[in-house]
Amino acid sequence: MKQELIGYAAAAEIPVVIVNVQRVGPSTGQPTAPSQGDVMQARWGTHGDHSIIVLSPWSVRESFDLAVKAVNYAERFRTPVILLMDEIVGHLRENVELPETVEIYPRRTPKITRAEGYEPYAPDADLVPNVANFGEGYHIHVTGLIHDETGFPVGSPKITREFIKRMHEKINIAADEIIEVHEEFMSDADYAVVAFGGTARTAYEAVLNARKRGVKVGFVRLVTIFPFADKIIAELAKKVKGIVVAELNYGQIVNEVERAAAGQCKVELCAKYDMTIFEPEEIEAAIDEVSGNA
Amino acid sequence: MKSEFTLKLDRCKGCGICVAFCPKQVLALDTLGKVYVAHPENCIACGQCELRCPDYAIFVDKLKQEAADKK
Amino acid sequence: MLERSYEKFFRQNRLPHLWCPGCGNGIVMKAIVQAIEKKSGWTQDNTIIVSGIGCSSRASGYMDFDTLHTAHGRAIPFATGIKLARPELNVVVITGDGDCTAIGGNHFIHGCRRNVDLTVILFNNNIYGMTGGQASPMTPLGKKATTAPYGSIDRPFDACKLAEAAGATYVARSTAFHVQHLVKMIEDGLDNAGFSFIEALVQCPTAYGRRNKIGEPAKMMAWMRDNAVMKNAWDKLPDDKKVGDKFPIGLFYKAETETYDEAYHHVIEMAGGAAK
Repeated sequence: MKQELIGYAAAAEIPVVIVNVQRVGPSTGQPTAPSQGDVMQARWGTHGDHSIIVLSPWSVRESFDLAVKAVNYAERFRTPVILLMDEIVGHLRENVELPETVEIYPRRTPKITRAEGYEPYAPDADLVPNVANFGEGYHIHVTGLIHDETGFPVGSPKITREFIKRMHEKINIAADEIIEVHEEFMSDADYAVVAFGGTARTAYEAVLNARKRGVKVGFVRLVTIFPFADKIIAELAKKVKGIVVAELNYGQIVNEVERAAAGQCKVELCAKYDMTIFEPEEIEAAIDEVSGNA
Repeated sequence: MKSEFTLKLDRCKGCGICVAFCPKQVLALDTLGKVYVAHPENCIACGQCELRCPDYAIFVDKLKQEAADKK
Repeated sequence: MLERSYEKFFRQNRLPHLWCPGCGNGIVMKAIVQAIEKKSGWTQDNTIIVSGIGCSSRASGYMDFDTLHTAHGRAIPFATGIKLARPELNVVVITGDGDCTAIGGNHFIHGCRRNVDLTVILFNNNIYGMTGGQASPMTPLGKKATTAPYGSIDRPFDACKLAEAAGATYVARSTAFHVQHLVKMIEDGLDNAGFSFIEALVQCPTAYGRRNKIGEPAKMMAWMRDNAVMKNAWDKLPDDKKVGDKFPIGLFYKAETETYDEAYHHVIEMAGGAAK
């Protein structure tokens, strides 16, 4: 619901963090059983080409850390950031020690005055504009209509093209910094399991169990879902013989992995969409299948 | 003439509201649909035209007596 | 000519505005800035104009304040956010009949209910003008729209009654014809601490007037002149005279109660103060 406003935040470049604890859908679905079916909704859940950052935690502590990171990315890139959780992590109870203070990216502010020709949507060197706060005398206009650097709507193909390009590129040029992938047991791995969020906890157990049986399988957890870890997955696909993608849906992130792997190795989907969480054995079976141990 | 008109014609869209609500039929629209002062001598500077102009295109000021006499 | 003092409230480089010839929106936009001008302490730096989507809501782009042109129906939630984050700012909302009472209907009643300190001015042109003349929840019964070619069968909202029932603490109506009255209604609304609602009837000659064969913009305004009845006179009017197109204008309701930002401030205090 209200996804239109994600697009508004992207277009008007308003920092915002949205937490989505996924449950089984579509519609009222299976409340409130676990699912990871909103991956593509998180990326494209508003109309139009838009920028977005999507982060997915796998623990209570990481939920805290990524929430802080989400706020900071939202401020730094002036973009919506989605904290994509699932019911597994959402209902998790773990002891955590939280830091006394956290570092916050300071609100971007104008570098020149109105008299000096300040324009609220003129991009800085990192392609992100320094939009003034309200009530500080800048008299800015903020709109969801496509606008030029003054902030006012214009019906120009050139401005539209430049606007949409900048909105994407401000994230793209910083993608390597934003993309975070948690890898383990990869040094000798012939195979890999790719997972994220709550499912990654089960996948980790499955990898441990398989390794005990001598299967050289590694663990790759996507912490940043979007921008997608294209380069990392491409490298991974070069290195391993097969990848298992475990996700609690009919197959969403697997398409991204396949695209990035570009045929360099086998990519097998281990999907579950029956309102229950994975058992480690189910993911282990998928590992065995892809590695020919089945 | 008791009044002075200022017209910002680039703002006028020729809607005719000022023409219709002028109690003395001072105003009219020209061939191109813009307002003009057809009968300035009848103006009583009531300001009804300016009051309801949706485009802020017409302004009417009451002239001081001496200025009016000079005209 | 002495330049009119209200002109400074407009972004001169954005005028003339995009509204159709004879549209009443320009009249109300001017009335708003004239009302703001009369308020001591309200400046272009401490007053925020928030609007939704539609013809009415393009007004924010012409007004030289910090202005926020939001999403369809959502002006009131955005404005509430500004008021809670920065209670010292004055927040004025511009909306339309479609924006405010259809997609924004829920936000509208809850804004009223919470008594958020906002002044909401609804430009009621009885139609969705920008998208080509679809019936809105304030299209009168029997009037034609692109989505009601045989005349609307949907009973319209009386937005003033709705606002009052929902808890607004200032409710008034005026029209684009009654300009000085309109300015006064808005000005008194700005004075009220709490949710102030002013319905301003505006003529839409293009999408509403033409389809309903009402004629010229001036004729639509003459209809306002001939049918609007001041509240005091309306109250004395026997029921058999409150017929046809007659409708009341003026101040309908006023009350005093705690505003939402005051209540919210108490919560912040109880919770140990806002982090700085």
